[in-house]
Amino acid sequence: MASFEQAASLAARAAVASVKERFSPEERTAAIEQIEEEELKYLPAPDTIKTKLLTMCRENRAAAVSAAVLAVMAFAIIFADKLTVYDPNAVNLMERLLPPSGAHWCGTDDLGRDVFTRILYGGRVSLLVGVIPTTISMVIGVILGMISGYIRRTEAVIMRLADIVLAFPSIVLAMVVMYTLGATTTNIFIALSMIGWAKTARVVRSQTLSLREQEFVEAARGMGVRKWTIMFRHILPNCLPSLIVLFTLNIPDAILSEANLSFLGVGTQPPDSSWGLMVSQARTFAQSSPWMLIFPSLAILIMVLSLNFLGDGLRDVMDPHTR
Amino acid sequence: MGEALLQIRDLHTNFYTREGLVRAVDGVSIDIEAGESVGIVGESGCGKSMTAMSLMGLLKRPGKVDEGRILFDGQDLTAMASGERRRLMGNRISMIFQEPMTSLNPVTTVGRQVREALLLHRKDMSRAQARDRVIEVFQLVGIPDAAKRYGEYPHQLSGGLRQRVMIAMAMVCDPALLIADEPTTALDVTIEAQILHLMKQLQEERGTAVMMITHNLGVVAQFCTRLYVMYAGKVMESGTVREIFKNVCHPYTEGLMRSVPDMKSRERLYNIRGMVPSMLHLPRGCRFCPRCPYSMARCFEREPDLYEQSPGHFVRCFLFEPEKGEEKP
Amino acid sequence: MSEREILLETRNLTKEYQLKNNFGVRKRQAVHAVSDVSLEIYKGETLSLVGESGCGKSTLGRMMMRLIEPTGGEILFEGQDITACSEREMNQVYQKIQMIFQDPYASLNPRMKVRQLIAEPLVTHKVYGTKEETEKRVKELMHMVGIRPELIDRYPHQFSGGQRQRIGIARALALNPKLMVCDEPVSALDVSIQSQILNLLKDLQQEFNLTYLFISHDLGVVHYISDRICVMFLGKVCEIGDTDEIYENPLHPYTRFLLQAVPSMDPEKGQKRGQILTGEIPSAVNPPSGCRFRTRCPYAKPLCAEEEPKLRSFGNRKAACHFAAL
Repeated sequence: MASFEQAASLAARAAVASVKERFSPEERTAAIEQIEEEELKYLPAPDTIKTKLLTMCRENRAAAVSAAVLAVMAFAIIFADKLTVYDPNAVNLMERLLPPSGAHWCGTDDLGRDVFTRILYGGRVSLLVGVIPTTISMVIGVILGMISGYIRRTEAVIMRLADIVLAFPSIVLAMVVMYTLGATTTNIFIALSMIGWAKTARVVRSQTLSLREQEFVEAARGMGVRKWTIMFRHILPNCLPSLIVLFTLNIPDAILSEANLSFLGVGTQPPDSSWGLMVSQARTFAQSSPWMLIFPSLAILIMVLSLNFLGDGLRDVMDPHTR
Repeated sequence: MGEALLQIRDLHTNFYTREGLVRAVDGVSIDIEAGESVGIVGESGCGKSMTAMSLMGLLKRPGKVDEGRILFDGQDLTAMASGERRRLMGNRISMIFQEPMTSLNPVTTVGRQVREALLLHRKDMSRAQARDRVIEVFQLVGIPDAAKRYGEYPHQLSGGLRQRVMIAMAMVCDPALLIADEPTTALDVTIEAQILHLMKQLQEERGTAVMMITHNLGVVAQFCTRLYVMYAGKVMESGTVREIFKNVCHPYTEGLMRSVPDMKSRERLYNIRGMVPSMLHLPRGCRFCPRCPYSMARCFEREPDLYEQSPGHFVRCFLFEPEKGEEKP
Repeated sequence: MSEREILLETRNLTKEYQLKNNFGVRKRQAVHAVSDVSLEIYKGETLSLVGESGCGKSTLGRMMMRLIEPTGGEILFEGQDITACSEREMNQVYQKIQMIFQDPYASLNPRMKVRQLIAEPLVTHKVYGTKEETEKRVKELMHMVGIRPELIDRYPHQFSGGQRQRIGIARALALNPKLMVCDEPVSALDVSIQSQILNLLKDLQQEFNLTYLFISHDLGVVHYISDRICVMFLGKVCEIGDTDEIYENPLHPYTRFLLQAVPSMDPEKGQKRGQILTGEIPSAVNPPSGCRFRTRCPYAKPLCAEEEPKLRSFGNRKAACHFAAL
């Protein structure tokens, strides 16, 4: 073994040197402590949600802009009645199919209604349809996905159910629900929730399967933590990054499904409007009056893009490893 | 000293991270003579792997060699065109990695992978010739049933056999220099002994120089003739293995050696206090001083150079600074 | 030797994994991860499980925490068979057995702060009524393992490997356990950090009268930390006994080869060390008949293939080899 007499001689050499140096042990301790103190200072401060969001805005321009755009859109949609001078449903055949102008920013449609006004009012339905069924379906999907991933004997039942939902053309399933329950906005929520959960459940299940094998889950089991607590405290937070992305992808899906339902006559009922309905109604006028098609489509596009950018930004700051 | 096979001179490899500049390799000079086995020892983050990566030209962004020369056979690798350099890699210089599973392509048979490596550098060889040569090398590295193993996939082989395949791949072009980055860390003790034995044998028979990167001092003691001890991007001590193990000079090396339980005594293990400093904020002065049991005032102020303690034995520590006459205040 | 108190005892503990074919139908074959292991852990000692990968040492350790359910045999902890415990009874046991994991990166939930990590066992078993008391205890534990209590609100990724392992140890200590299962706690750490953690474990053992089941493949570490060791090969115990006796005079050939394979720190002793064990570790699916080690053993005789060697006593220790002799 590397000899201890050598160690002694190194120590002796050091002793001689330190006498020469006139460097007392106290001074040494102080010097070391100072360095350690400095090292501690360099450690990044603990993150809070606020600092996380601030870093995101600083480092990810696209996410910051998207957040602002979404805020403006939400504001405009909520206060639509204050921001517009026209009645969204007032038919004015004198002014039908007018191109965009100072009076009608986005032109008018085949019944002479102001397209801009209708976009703002239609946004109410679209926003609700985007957010509410997505949230409901994701809550259901997360819970079922986690259970089927963590408690193995439930897997067969839950996943086969998900397979059935996924195997059906979703629009047919939604139509069945809408026909049986009747075409109201609430029922759109129910229909869309019923078809949306399966995708989330699949993603969460596969994540749960890999997370449950992680040592920290094993550690929690070894502490006697109950399985529901493990699921919600250990597994769910670690699924969060992909859930955020999934959320931003599901919202446009829901908006488009609603558009499809409306197009088939079982969704939003005229004269009420939604973005999807506006797009599908504008179809016949695409050649002659393209503004009817372009502006609602743009609204959908901007919202979807912003959500995606924001989702990416959020995922990055939420992930502790990349920070 | 004659012209060494590999001369690394004042190598600086920097990483430009979001948090700041990391000097992963900070002025490292290493010589390896032909046929020699040299150990590079240090803890994680000391820059030993980054030295090898710089040498192989495998640095990933945001890493970059900013300064220094790497002379192989008298040619400067850093000044070479990338095509020319690629012709050397895997041919005259080759590398073995730590993880034999992830360094092999799981969907191709191991024989084919080694053959491709060979054909890349021996354009004149026919496929059949290459195949025969691969099987020959497989036998050389002690793979039983070499011809049968040639057609198997990596997952069909055990860890030890996979590492043998990696060695075969590295040896197939008869390189002058073999870089082994922790080749036995992922293996069991008895398999580790086999692999080390094999590498030693190949090195002696074929005159291949080996650069053994490891954290295991036992491996170095058994395998290498010279060694470099690295800490936080700098070489702290270098010399022959015999000399350093007998006459350890740098407090860090001493600490490392005494931290390893030796299967003989059960006296309380020596501890190096504290932990490796963040490479983003190295302490002023000697980078080991806050952990060093012997640090002196000047250690906290400026950095020591490498001092020649005895011929060929260099130490980066003020305790070994040659006296400049008598200095009294 | 005076009769020491047994804390935990396994009797013929077995774990087999049934193999299934592509249609989920059970095959005849099974992976014999742990076969028929009987051992005792005495109060206050450190027993090490040594062996190469696949020898079943981790499986054995995990079975003692019932993270893996055994397929046969029993585990007696303080006289109570924990393989038969209900979930509620197990809760009591969990407070007395804790585990430290190998990978300090994977064993801490990356989304929890140190505060929550260390408090988790306390919260789970409702040890303290108020948040303040819990926090006080967490800080005390952090201090005990050598982490600055100011860092209580940091996430694990802000710490180095050694510090994370300390967090893991603090968490395991929180409930004042009697037995700690340490699954390769230092093998992922650097040499200088490894010795710090080993010394910390020794200090804690002294201070709290802990019993360790220490699982490791590093024979140097095992020698340093353990009172007794148990050498395993392919799910079977080869040799079990006092550390010093085994290191001085290994009875089982496998133990001998294992000890010889460790690279010596003395360059003079040189490259001419003893025999190197040839061959690969056989598969646990179809272990060799008779003695499982015989395919690699240079001393194997026909008897070894026919009859499985039983663990026989040699003084204070036991070895499973037909030809073992003191």
